[in-house]
Amino acid sequence: MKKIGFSSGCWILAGILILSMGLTACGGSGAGNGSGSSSLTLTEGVLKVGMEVGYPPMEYLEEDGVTVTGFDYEVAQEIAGKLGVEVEVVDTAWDGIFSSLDSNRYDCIISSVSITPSRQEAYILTRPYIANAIVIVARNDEQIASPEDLAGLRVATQTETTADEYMRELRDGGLAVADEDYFVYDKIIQCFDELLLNRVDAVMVDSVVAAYYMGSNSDKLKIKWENDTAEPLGICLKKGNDALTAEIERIVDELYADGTMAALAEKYFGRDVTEGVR
Amino acid sequence: MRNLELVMGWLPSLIFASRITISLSVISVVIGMLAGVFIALGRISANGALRKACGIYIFIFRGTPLLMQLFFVWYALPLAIPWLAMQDRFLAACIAFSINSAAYQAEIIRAAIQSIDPGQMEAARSLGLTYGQAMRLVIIPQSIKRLIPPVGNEFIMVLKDTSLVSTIALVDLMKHTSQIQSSAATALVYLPSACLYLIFTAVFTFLFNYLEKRHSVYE
Repeated sequence: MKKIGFSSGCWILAGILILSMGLTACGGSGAGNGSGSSSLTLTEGVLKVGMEVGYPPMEYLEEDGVTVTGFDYEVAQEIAGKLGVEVEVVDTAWDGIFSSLDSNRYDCIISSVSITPSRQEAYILTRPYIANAIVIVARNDEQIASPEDLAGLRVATQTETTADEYMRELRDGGLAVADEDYFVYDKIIQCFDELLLNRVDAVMVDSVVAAYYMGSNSDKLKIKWENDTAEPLGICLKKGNDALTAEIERIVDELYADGTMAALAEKYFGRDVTEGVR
Repeated sequence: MRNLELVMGWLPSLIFASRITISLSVISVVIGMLAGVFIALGRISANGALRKACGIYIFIFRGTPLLMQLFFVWYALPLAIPWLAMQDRFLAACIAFSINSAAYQAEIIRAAIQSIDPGQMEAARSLGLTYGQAMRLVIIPQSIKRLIPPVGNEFIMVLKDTSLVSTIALVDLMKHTSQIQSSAATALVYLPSACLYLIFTAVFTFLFNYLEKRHSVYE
């Protein structure tokens, strides 16, 4: 018995090894989109787009709770339309959204990805398709005019967002927000819930998202401060996927030239914010 | 060597974040155990209404996800009943984990009590003990030995489930690990973190084994 158990164990191990080598090989060829396949995308006829659905107005669910919509979603639709393929949204948690690109779960991320040097090191980011700024949202009566005023207050952000990074920089730079007063949530909606429940005093967030929440709670909440330097958002692809990147860049240029982007911005943000982005 | 240095650098903060993981598990399992005794006794009592009520409690809290219960206590309860709005995240986590653990432990305790030979209860009653005295002095002491392994199991499950608290922005060992992963851009941090979880589990397994041995002197 023992002997058989041991040898079958070896076979299983060998099987796993062979399988994983096979998978790595597939991964390798898929990344470059070179050998054998002429398709630009992972799956012929489909553009798989990674999104964290739950970030209105950029990407969120309609009231029926299943239909994806939002600015990014419509941008994805426009791009796919010009590529002649269908959009398939892959809904992913923000935590880990980039590593799924490495494992070929989708062709690109169109999910309000801010262009930062560290992200550019590891991935391809297209030239900006829209711009955004970090803002501070607080209850009406709060006396906040700049990030310095956050000292001693309770602050919330969404984990791994540029607002989170910005808060960390500020705190490293001496802003007095204690560890136990700095809250990092999985979902942006939780930050706003906490603000309304009086459990935090300020939320640091992307302006496009803040605008959306102001809409339903504009009597209670207010944008207290907006960062001067706009934060460009790009479409994120795996390193080496140059063919698809070039196509997307060309299409986004077209969308800018024919006014589609301006119309989408008007629809979702209430104003044309495309000026000087590209 | 570089990796070893990295791991050693992370270790103090990982251990510090573990205080949430450990204290939350210990508090929830202890409160869950105390509440569980009463729910279990209710489940086997002669009073039909009480039996039903305890059955419903177990049905609800064992039948819905712990994560949902945590969200309910922290986000939904304050919206429904404003004066129940807690400011303390740790307290909210303790409440959610305790009510959940109580449901599981009630069933563990009920099974342990019912595994004691009915002759024991009959003998105790025939000696003139009341139902309460018989439970307290005869049945429950004998059931403790049988309780220890499944409660140890429950404890280890709770210890690992505590990673859910990151969703209410409480920084436990798991959350701190993923924070390090993203700021240091390496998944290496999962190694010391997993070791810490294993060390905690090992310590508590040892403790439960010791308790089991101590309580088996009667058999």
